Amino acid sequence: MYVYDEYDHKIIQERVAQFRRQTDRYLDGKLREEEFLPLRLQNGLYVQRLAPMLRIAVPYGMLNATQLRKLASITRDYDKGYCHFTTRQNIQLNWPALEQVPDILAELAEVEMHAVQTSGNCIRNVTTDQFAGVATDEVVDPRPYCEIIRQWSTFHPEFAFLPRKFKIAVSGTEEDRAAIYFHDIGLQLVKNDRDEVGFKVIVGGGLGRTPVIGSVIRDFLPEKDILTYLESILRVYNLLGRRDNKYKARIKILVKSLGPDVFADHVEQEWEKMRDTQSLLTDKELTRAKGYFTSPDYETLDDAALAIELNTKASENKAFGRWLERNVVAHRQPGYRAVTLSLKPVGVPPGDVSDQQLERIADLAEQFSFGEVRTTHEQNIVLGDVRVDTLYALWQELKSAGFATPNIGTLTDMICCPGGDYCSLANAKSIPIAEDIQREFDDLDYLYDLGELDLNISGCMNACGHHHIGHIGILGVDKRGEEFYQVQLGGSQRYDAKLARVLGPAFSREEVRHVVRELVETYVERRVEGETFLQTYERIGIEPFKERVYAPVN
Amino acid sequence: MPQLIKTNGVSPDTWQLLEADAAPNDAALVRDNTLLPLQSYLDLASELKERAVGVWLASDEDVYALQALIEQVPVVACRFASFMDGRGFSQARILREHLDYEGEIRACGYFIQDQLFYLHRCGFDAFVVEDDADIESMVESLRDFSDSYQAACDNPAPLFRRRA
Repeated sequence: MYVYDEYDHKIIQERVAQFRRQTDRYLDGKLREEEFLPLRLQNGLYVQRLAPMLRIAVPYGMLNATQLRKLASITRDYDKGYCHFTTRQNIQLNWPALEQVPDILAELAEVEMHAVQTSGNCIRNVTTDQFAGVATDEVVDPRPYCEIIRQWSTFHPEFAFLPRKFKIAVSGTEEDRAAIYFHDIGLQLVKNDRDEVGFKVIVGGGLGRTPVIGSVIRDFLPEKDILTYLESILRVYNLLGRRDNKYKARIKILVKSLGPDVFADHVEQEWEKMRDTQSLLTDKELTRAKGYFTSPDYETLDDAALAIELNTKASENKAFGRWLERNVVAHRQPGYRAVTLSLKPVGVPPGDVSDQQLERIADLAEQFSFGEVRTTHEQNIVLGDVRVDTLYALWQELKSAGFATPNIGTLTDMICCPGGDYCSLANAKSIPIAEDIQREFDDLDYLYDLGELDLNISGCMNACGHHHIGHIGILGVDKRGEEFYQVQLGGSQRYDAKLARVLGPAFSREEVRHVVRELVETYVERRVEGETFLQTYERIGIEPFKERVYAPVN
Repeated sequence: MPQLIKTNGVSPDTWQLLEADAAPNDAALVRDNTLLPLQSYLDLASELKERAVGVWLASDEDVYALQALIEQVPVVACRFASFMDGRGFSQARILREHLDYEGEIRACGYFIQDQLFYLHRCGFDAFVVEDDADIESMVESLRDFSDSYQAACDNPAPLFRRRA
């Protein structure tokens, strides 16, 4: 993974010093509340329902064992001993004290981490595929480009006071695992017919109150042009994006109102003026960035022979077999696999991890996966490079650590925002809904039979839980002061991006688990061989689901 | 009197910014050291050559309106209605980088001390602040960072071209 040089260290340390002075001025009454607000947000600090919340950046989801141990000690020393993994691959602390945040940031800087631009109206942490560099369907490894974009966007002087927040995601695979059609800018790494690397550029996607699927404004942008092109998009947005209404300020609204073609014309015009500046990437820089993401020291292994042994073990031990099937995926290096640690056991808020668990993950990363892990958009953790002949030993370790729930990709591997338990924006709680559903669907055989099923829960229409793009989406709403839940069907976060449709009137908390049960039963009854939930839904439409759920009780 | 912070020091700001309804429509009536609204400046431009008369831009005004006059304007002021409105940052960069403007770009209105470093990187070289402002603290903010990743007006070479 990327390693800081003297420049990176100096810049991050100067940031910590800057925020310390700002915090001091605020506490001394020399910096007004509303002026401190965007400054603390751009250092990851929110003030939430119960306490401040600090969002720590995990650039494109990469973490090493040293960083995990530092995070563990920070959650212990400054918080209540646990943290939360978010849908944008970041980490949140729920109970830090405002006065101590500069100290936390200083500790993070020691291990090449920060909370820079994890909130506020600026360019946020760039995200990507959790299987980058190991995926079998990868066309180009996105991580060097993510790092180049991270550096370009960090403390960008022109784009720190945008109309609204701005999120960029990069994908380099055949199957999209970074939801690039639902970001302000989505970048898909592609190769043209001359085998040159470039980007398909998508703008104006997003969730929130007005969910929009992004528009392609360029099919192929040569790789070296990426920074000047991004700068052009951001400049057009900075100058023309709406600032009169917070809910109409995202780039998706500008792209919609101008039309993607006109928006693209503005960008191209701006780009013509800056494409030949020194921000054009060089071969040297591309080589330098790629040099940080080379393959680890893999051993040469006989995949076929190891797979036979593994299958024998799996047939002897059903639980191990289940875990292999759900939580372990293929790897491009023979004899290796990528393993997902489920952060969704029953009874724990999705994505929550304790300090001791963080340390355990660090140990396991060192023991089994070259000391590195990745955080995922679905709020889990991945060990990217595990030898096939160590999978059984790893599984046993994961069971005792509580990460072996074999539910990856199934109904109970839910995306869930912190909701009304923590968030001051929420209309309703989301964590208890997740727990209800986990308890309702505790039969693993039944879960596997259901197969791939994305269930996403948001506590309000800001959609941090991505309810619009779940196969089943659940949205918390407020009705006359009471918490209700609207159910949606048929969303997809992949390249075939789709927005879910509302099923009908909302339900009480108690009803939700039964409603999900009815939806799933409808699928089970109506599916034809091999169909996923989403495929059945697309074939038969929303009506059969509706009829079943709203059928009068006799 | 408001103070003017420049890269070479601090002095009282002797310039006067005129609102649209106070701007004369006769160049002879415009005093030296005046900042005119964009439309007034454009109307009187041919008579303002060689004059110590500048122009101020609101954040929603188009910088390119000054394209033909860029050689004659001694001062362009970008006026921040709110520090949260970041359009002025782009206006200044366009002035410097696309229009090759070499005169003074000053920030006025409601910007905050903590934006000084970014403003300077975007091409601002003068900052109008209240007369009781903590100048020392502000000058410190102007130097928040000693290096930057990306290219801007203070350095057209991004860090990746300068790394050993």
